[in-house]
Amino acid sequence: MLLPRHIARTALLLIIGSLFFSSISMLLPQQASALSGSEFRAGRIIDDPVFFDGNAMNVTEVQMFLNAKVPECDTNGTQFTTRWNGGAGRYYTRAEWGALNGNPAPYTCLKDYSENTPTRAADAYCSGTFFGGVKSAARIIDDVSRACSVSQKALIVLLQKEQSLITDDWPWAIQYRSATGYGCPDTAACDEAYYGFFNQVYNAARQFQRYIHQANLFNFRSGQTAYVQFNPNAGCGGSNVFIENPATAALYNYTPYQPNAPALDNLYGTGDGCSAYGNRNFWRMFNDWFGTTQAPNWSWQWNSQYAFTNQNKTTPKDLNNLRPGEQVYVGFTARNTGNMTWSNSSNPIRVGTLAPMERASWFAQGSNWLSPSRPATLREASVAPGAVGTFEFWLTAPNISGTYNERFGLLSEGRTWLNDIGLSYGIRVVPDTFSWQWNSQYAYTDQNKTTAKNLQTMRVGEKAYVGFTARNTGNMTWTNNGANPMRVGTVNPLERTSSFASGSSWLGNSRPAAMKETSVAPGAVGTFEFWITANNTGSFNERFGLVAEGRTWLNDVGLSYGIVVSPDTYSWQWQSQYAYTNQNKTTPRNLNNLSPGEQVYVGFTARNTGNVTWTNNGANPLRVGTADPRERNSVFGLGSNWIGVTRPAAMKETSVAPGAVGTFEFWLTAPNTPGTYNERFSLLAEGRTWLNDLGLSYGIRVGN
Amino acid sequence: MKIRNKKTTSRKKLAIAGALVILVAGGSVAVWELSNRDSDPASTERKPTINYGPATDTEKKEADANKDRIVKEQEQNNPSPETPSGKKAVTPTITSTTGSIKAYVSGIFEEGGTCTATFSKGDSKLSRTSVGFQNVSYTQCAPIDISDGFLSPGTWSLVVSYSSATAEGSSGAQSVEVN
Repeated sequence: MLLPRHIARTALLLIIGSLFFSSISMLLPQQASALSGSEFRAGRIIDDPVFFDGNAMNVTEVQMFLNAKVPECDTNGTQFTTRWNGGAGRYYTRAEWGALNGNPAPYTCLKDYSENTPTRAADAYCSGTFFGGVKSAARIIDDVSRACSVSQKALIVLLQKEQSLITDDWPWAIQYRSATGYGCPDTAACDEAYYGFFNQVYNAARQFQRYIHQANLFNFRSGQTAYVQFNPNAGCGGSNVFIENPATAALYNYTPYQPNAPALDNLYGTGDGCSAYGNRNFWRMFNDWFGTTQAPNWSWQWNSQYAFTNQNKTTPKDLNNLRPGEQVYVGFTARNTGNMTWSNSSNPIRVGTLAPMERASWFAQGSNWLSPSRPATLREASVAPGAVGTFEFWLTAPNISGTYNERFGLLSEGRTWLNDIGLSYGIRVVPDTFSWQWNSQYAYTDQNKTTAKNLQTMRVGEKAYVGFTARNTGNMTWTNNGANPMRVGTVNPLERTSSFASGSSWLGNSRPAAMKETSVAPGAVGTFEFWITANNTGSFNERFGLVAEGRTWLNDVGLSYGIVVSPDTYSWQWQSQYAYTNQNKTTPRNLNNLSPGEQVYVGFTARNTGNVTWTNNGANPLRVGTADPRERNSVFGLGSNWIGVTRPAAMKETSVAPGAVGTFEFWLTAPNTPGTYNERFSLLAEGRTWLNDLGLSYGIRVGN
Repeated sequence: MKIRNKKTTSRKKLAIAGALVILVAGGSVAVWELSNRDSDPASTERKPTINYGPATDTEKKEADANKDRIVKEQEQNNPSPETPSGKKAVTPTITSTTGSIKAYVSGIFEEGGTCTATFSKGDSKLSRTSVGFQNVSYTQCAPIDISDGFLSPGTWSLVVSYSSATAEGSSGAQSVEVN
């Protein structure tokens, strides 16, 4: 059906417009249903977790709240009152009326108020110190809340209930002076000892704590029935009230009146002549501004959290690098912020897995949990509201490395889950790693490592004691026993057979040694030492690496020993030469004029420039021998007591190492025949080889 | 009749509008239902929150009424009733008689006064005292213990009286059952 265009358009606009506005109204903050006086419970005005929560608001929220309730302060009192100024024929302005009553403008609103406050030390009631200084009203409220563990919300409502300070846009000085009504009896003047905004707020908060700590001293007490009047006028009567909790007792101890029926029936207005509104208004305003005064039955707050290597809880454990299968002992403490006492037996409070709820955790296996989604039960038998409970359990890292976010929450088993505060343990499981870093390297002639050995000067058959130290840069502890002991192995290529093995007491052809230390933790240094035997001549680059036997080779850092094995060489260098009259070697003898038959004691020293140590005994002793030609018979040998016909002498020293000097001395007996003689000698390693002939000679003249 | 474009377009508009109406109406009903759902009335209706709205009319009216109260108190010309000895007349309120006598005295905020609990039964008249101390807006009598059996079983008549340098007075009589 077609509608006329203009009607259709109008209808469309009306429909869209009304829907728009109803949607907007749906989005405005509103109560689920209006507060009714019938909901007021005389015995349970407010719950302890709500009233005594010193962290209910932060200072910014308090300031924002004050700003919101009085967006604009009527500082100069320019607005009109509802009091008629007959003389002027109009209503008084606020400034006028205020002045008339001793309270002229300007007026300071609570959001702008500040005061130079004193310090109040902690005491038995306010367990925190209030530090003095110039502070705003919001800061004073917040700091007192925290020092005395009374909710910021409760103090805000108290200030409104007593002097309407929160919503007053032109407050008088007297309202600050007696802001919480402290020291102000009903029908008498206030006690000036308690004057001042800070004084009022602090003493009120502190007094609430006195009602808790000295509950026996005051009229109203949790768990007891007491008579509560409706009004300071006893004639208005009252009734017996069973006080259900300490916070409610505290409110009555502060203001000992309960609302009568007319006051409750007209919740936002006045009752009758017997009504007193203090506690009614506290309850009503708290609900209107901050929601229910009742704590949830079951709720908790994070208190502390920790992880240790084991249940002794002495060594903290960083959860960032667990190895597969590694176990860690974790825990957390939780404050009971609900109304119900926690039990570990009846509907016990337990830790349960979250994200998602009841997930089977990968950390459960081997951890001795109640089930894959139940790590632990509350440790304490009973945790009352406000007290703290403990939960502890093992986590066993799974074999799959990765980053895990283990989320947990609390539940009362068989009854309900508690609030999810987002408790979690961030865990990284890293695979086992074996790796090392070169630390030091050395070679010695001996196992005591006293004499360094230059490996470029080895001889066939010679041994050297070499070693190196290695820093463990992996995450596994090295051992020298058990399943996978740490060893040196030949590399380049892996498992090559080394010619230096034979005769060296290796574990095997490609395994010089095991680690010396029993155990080397990550970050510590291990030592590896072994003998090498030079079996062949040549230049060698002996490469080695580390292996966790039966498991894995470690990184090859290129560790090597450059070794040069040379054939044996015998050679010498002339050092000195001499002739004496006798073996005392005190009187030199000129060999130019010997008499026939005269004996003369000659000698020379020789530096060992070969690579074999000379000895004067054993298989190949060093001796002087006649030379030019070799083995010639010398006429000077007769009667000279040589060790052999062509062997004047053996080396005097038992042993002369390469580089050291040996001494050779012997007699020469001049023959009977005069003449000029050139006695030539050289050195030999008897039975092995002659050394280089340096032309050593003694020029001798025998005269008549 | 030939259907002109304009009419076809406006019919389309109406159809679209109709669909929108259904959608929004349906959505609004859903929102309305959800917001009015009554689950656990005690604990879930008014979740912890902070109401950053401005002061309501009621709150402003009450603030104004507070000023009237202040003025009235400042103008207080009627002196409190006085006793013959010139002290302020006060009436202690008894709040509890179980195990101990608890009472307080409104209208006076001071330390050091004497609270006396007087028990009468037949010819017997016993009394015990405690000290009064300041509590916010009144004087609290320290509790007077009666659990030690000094009162023989039966019904006693209790009167609590208060006396200090500045005030005095008695409560009405109240019966106390002693087992």
